Amino acid sequence: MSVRTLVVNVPHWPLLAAGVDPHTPAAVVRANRVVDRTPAAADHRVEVGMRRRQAQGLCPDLEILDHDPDRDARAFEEVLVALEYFTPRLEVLTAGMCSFPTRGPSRYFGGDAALADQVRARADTVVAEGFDLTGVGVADGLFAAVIAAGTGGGATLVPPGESAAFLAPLGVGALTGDTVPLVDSAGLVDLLARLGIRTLGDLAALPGPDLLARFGPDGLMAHRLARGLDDRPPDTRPVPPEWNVRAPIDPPAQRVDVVAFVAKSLADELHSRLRAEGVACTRLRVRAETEHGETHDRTWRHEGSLSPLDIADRVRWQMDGWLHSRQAPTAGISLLTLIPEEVVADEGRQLGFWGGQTREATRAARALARVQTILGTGAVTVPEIRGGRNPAEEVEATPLPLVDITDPDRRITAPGVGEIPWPGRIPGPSPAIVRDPGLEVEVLDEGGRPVSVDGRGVVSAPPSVVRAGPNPGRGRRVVEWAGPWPVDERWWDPERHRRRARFQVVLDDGSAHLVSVERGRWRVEATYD
Amino acid sequence: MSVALALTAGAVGEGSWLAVVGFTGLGLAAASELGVDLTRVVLIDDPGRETASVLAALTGAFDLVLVPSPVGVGTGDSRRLKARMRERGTTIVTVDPPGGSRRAARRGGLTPDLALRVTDSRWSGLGRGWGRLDHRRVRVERRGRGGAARPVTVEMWLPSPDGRPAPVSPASPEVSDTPVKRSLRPVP
Repeated sequence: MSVRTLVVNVPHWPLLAAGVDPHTPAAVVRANRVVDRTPAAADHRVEVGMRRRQAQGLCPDLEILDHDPDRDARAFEEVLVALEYFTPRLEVLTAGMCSFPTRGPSRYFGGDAALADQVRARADTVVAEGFDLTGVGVADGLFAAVIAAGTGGGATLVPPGESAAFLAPLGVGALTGDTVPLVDSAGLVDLLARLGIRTLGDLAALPGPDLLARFGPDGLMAHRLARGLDDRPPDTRPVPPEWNVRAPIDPPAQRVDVVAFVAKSLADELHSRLRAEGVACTRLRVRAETEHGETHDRTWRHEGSLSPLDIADRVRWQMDGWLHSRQAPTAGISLLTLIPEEVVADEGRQLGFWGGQTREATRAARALARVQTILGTGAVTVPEIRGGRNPAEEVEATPLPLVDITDPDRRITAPGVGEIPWPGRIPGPSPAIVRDPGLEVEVLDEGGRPVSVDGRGVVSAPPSVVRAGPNPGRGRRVVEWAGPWPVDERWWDPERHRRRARFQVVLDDGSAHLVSVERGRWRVEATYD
Repeated sequence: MSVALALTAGAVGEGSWLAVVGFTGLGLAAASELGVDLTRVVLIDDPGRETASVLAALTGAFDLVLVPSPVGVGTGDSRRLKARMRERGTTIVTVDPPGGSRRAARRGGLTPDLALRVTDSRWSGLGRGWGRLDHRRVRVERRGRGGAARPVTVEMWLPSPDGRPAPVSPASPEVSDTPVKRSLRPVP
């Protein structure tokens, strides 16, 4: 028997959290893919999953917003506060979606239908006009309730005991979703479809042990979900209270980062304690208390198991939401408690043999997370090879939050680069030091006159001296040189149009540089150090 | 700079991660050509005044850290940092600005155990008005402390005509048995 659950789904939450007007075309982009877009953008046929450039091609004035889980989670606090009117047992699934068991609230508010209507009315107060309205689903089992809520724009009630019948006509594609606890849902769905199992009803009709034998734990889990059961048999064994971990904060913390720092070490402690018991946490309650005795509770659910970093993130989101909400506490936070509410046997995770999520990458990612807390999220970047005519353009830095460095299949080369040569590229070897935007210098000929290049690419005289800075006495003699290599870029765009001629020079101290002249001004663009 | 990149290339190729801290104009294309696998490179352009804490955070997680010298780290911090590096097996490679003397490195609190210096560098391929930079012959001098106190000089192509670093002559035996941590050996 599965728990009767109500799920509230606010569609387009990332856009709502960013405060976008639904009538302007805008899209939220994560790792270069559109994850959400406004109805106005949808009118331009911008779809979820598109590449950013493709979306911009379809709709040139598309406003691009970066995906920011912190912002989403923080803003969602407002909805949670509104919904706390119904029950204190709210569980956050993702930013934009939360659930609670209906037993209790349902009877109090006059039945599932009445409850769902009231929940929807309350949640809709935060939804900006023009967006799809909140979806509310009530069903046996979380999975069926999420599907019911996902239809959006109203309340969907699945009568008790009929979750399996409700799910049966749906395609197996429903198993791919952020809240589905499958390790590799995309792979499983793909395989099932190719085996001719197209609907959840087909899947539910198969014998469970056979699915376990053929597909492993994922298969069994999918089978349970398709039959409208909870992902795991309900665990009647309560979590012993001595597994709770708490940390007093002294002096009381007024700022989120201080709490987050404590949360990180607390999460590590919880994690090692649970690991010693051979269990992993799937539902966690975070409680914060202030000096004045105010408390703030929130339950977080995770489809897999919560890692220490996940826990620390959730504490940060919760504290961010609380400290900046209207019911902000009047004093600093003095006690933080983590309460594991639901644990499952930790089946461990097999690291990939070939590549896979390597330990080094995970370690590096962790250290970089720490660096980002010191310097801010934009401070860490990873290179991406884009190709271009100038050394500064060839490799571009992508902010770390946009990529997953632990992904062993990560590509750092843009598609097509390297297959065909870039016309006008400076031939290799590449310079080890790139200056953007270049160091201004003077380049003089034998007679001390500035060297110039005319419109046809003819040099006025061989360059003889390169001189930098205001002190005219200093300069270095040009020993060897080659050029000009003219380049005329973006002549169609008056603002970004650049026309210049480039030279390679070797100076009398043995150093080699790439210099360019543009509108009579010389710059050292790069140094072959 | 190229020497530092060539130095790290071997270790990065074996699966180590490289963090580049505080270089705004590192030629990543050059790094890639010298054999550094860019999938395991992370850039932190401007650590500001937090260099010490950033380096501390990276120590242990990254095998190699590249920073420009002088490193903005105090004497006390650098001693702690060095102890931690030794314990966790992280190597910090400091790079002097081109033309800068080794005294610049001394001013920062972080003194290297081993210093590689390009004493001579000669490019080939360019003429007066023709050609292009193609390959370069450098003389690299190694100085250090302890077992590596005796200076050793080696000549190499950086890059060689085929784009990769290569020794001018077969590596002399005194270079190959450098008594230092694995990732600090001169490129064979």
